[in-house]
Parts: sequence; C-alpha cells; structure tokens
Amino acid sequence: MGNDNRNELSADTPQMKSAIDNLRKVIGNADSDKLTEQQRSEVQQALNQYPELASQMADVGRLVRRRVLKRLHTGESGRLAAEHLAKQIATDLGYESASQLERLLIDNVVLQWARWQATEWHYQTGIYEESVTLSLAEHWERRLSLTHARYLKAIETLARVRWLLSRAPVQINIAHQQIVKNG
Amino acid sequence: MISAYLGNDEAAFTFAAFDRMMSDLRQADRKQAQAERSEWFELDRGVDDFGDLVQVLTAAVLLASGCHRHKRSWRVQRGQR
Repeated sequence: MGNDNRNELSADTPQMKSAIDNLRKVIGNADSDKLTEQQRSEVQQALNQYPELASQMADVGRLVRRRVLKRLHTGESGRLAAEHLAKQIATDLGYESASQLERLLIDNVVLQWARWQATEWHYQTGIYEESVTLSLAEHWERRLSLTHARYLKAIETLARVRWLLSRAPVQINIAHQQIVKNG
Repeated sequence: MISAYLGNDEAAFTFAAFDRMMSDLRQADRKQAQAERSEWFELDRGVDDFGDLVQVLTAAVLLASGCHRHKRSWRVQRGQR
C-alpha cells in the first residue's frame, strides 16, 4: 500500500476479489425469506475462507479516506485538522470498543462524511469564483445532495446493523473467525 | 451553424475578435468542468467501491448471524431470539 494509484483504491488484489465474489455468490443463494441452515452454513464457510478480508478492507478504507481528505484541504495543517476531525467522529461512534464489522461500517461513515465535506468545501470555494458556470454550479449542487444522502445512509446502516446484531442468535467475530451461539 | 455578415470595417473585426475570445472562454470552462468531473469520478469510485465491499461483508455477517432479508429490509430470524 505504498503509492496512491487507482488500483489500490478498490478490491483489486486477486484473493480479495475472489473472496468478495464468493461472498456475493453465497449471499445471492441465501437471499430469501426462508433461509435454511445449510445456506447459513455456506455463508459462514465463505466468511471463514478468507480471514484477512476485514483487515484488508480496513486498509483500503484508510487509503481512500486519505485521498478524500487530501481533496478536502490542500494545505498540510488543514489536512491534519480534517484527519483529526475524522478520527474524532470515529471515536464518537464507538470505534475503540466496536467489533471488526462495526469498525468497517464506522470507516464507511467517516469516508462518506469526508466526501461530503470535500464536496461542500469545493462547492463553497468555487461558487464565488466568477468562472463558475451555471451548469457547473448545478453539477456541484447535485453532488452535494447525493454525498449528504450517502453519509446519512451510512449512519443509518451502522445503527441498523448494531440493533440487528445485538438481537441475533449467533455472534460472528470476523476478526478471529469465532462463532458464538447465544442462549 | 448560423452565419452573419458584419461588414469589413474596424467594428466588425473588433466584434469578431470578441466573439472568438468568448468562444475560447466557453471552451476553457467546458474543459475545466470536464477535468473536475473526471478527478472526482475516480475518487467517487474508490468511495463507492469501499461502501460496496462493506455492504457485501455486512450482508454475509448478518446472514451468518441468523438474520434474514424480508422485502429488502433486514430482520432477526423469527423464533431465534
């Protein structure tokens, strides 16, 4: 994860891509109201096959976040302040005590927040420049609405997943591949 | 394309130069907008890809944990609590 090129911003490593494709497949098979034990077991097996997936995804998230924060502020001090704020948001969402999956969801919230802020900053600074055309301003307004909606959605997903997992009969620890049956 | 004859006096040449300048400015605007969009597009793709990965893993963990999807919303399996 050294230089910032396009390939590092997504799941382009062959193992990771294969693990994600496999997960997509078993999720597709298991995506029904009547979920059988065998289907559930297949999903668990698919999760077990690639234990490094969650930590590699966290790496990808950090890398993308750094890129977005660079767009948020061009100066070093501004970038550091934004990075600090991003960490603060993660802490406020309970990052330290969160499970591996929750951490990824928090990473996603922070990433969506950073993109929204970068868009807002870009829009606010650009809109006062005389060279901004109406179509460009409209484009940024649409982006602003979209990125804000994605940020809210990410928060909602985190809350929903926390609620569901607190009531789920089985606890899956994707960091250490432990399965704990509740009750 | 609409052509308009503006004469061949000094005013006409000034107008033509002004017209060319405006056209160049519009083209520069378009190029700037295009460059901005492609730069953000690449970054957007990174953010969206990450969100997509998290979504896949979340769905897998929820299913493995005993949840299921009903009409696109997640629920805890009935009678499992």
